Amino acid sequence: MLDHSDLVTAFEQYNELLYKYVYVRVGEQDIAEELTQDVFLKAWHARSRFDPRKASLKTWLFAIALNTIRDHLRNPKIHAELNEETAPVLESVAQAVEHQQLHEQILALMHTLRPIDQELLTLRYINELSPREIAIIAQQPYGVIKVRLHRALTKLRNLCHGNLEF
Amino acid sequence: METWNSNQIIKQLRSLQVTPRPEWQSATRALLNELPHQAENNNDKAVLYKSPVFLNTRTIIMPKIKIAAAVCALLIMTGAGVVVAADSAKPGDILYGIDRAWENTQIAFSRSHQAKARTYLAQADERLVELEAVTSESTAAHLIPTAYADDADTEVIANLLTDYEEALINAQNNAQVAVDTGEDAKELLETIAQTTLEHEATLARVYTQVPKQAQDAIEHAMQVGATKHQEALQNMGKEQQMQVQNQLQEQKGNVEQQLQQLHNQGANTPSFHDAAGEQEKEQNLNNGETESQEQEQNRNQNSESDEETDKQTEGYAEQEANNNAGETQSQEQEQNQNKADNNAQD
Repeated sequence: MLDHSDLVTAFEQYNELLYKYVYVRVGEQDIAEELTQDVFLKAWHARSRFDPRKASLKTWLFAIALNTIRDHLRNPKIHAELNEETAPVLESVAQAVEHQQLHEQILALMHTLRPIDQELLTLRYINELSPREIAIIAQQPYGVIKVRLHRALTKLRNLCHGNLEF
Repeated sequence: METWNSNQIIKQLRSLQVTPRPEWQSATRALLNELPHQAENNNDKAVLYKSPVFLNTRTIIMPKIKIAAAVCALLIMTGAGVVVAADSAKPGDILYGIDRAWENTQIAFSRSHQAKARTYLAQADERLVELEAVTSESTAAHLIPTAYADDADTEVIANLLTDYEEALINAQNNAQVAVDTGEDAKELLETIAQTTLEHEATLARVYTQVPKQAQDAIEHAMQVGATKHQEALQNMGKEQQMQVQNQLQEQKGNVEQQLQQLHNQGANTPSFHDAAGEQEKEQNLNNGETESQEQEQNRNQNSESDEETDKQTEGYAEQEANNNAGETQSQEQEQNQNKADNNAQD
């Protein structure tokens, strides 16, 4: 059970971390702000379900964020927009080489991967959560998470190798 | 172009600076402070760990087959949580049976042949994820009772591979029907071609980690994967076929190299090059290229892949070392994990 002071403390502790995760996944400031706010509101409405024996408050909030983003991206309208945008991503990466930071180019390439790969790479390498925390958030066994992380990183590395110079 | 390694990518991702606007933080802080004073909203929207599949089935009134009815009944009796939990189950887990029954339900609810093909392909993918989990020392220890370890290990792996083949064959069969009935299945065929290549790489990776008796089953699965890859390419129009082959050239080169290494160790691996050879020859003739040019390209590609593989292994080892350093485990657990990681990399 989560009380109000826990929620307020959690906001101070984790709002930047959660915003970063949401922003990287959706790529737009306005939407990221709205969805991150949703995460805390949902946490409040679901406060009776929080069980600290099963997950820490941090992983619980990330699990809400993960599902909130999945719901958002599952919206057919958003999906159609994403499909239109995905095709020229690689071209735009090539065009932007001189104007973008290297990490922004890598991020653009990461967005061409499958959503599950993006989720795992973001949680592990951008939010720097441990594989054990990710296993709890994604409700997958630790071994499976490690395998999938390795696969996702290999895919991203292959993409970088084919598209970017460092 | 220089070769990227995993550590360079991780370093770049970690350098990403994203912070929310202070105005948003203030507004949200004020909103949260108001929450205890607002009337309680009974329409609680937050549902943790919900299954997208379960949500999709809410509009379906009549189950199509018995297994679907059985799983739906189970849902009513026990709640969706069981199926959600079972989704991550692996062979040896109590909920694994429910997980597989639920997969069959997904097939029954897939309306088009293309949707069925994608669902079967996802199942094939899932079988290989389970295979990797089962073959890694860290998880196998608690999946299989020690007394039955050797026999059970082989049996579990063989069963997973049989199911993998079945799912892959069903995926390709459904794709074939979609093509035969004039549907636009370009995207699906490309997905199958790419996924089967990834599968071959996975199978090659786990080959040396499984008991000797299970290696035959992996060889067979590799043959099936190579055949389905080829069939997907054959179902494409010439233009798409060439485009996809170009896109997959590097990945295919890496897979061929992995298979060749296993072949050199005595494994009966399929020749991807031969499997696609008929088409490549035809294309080369059309393009006016000679076979020797193609061979030279392959030699250059293999040489690049050698360096790539070395760096990948190196990067993964360093990455795992970083992972372990960042985790708050007891010293003993950390040592065990490192041992398991090292074995997995071997």
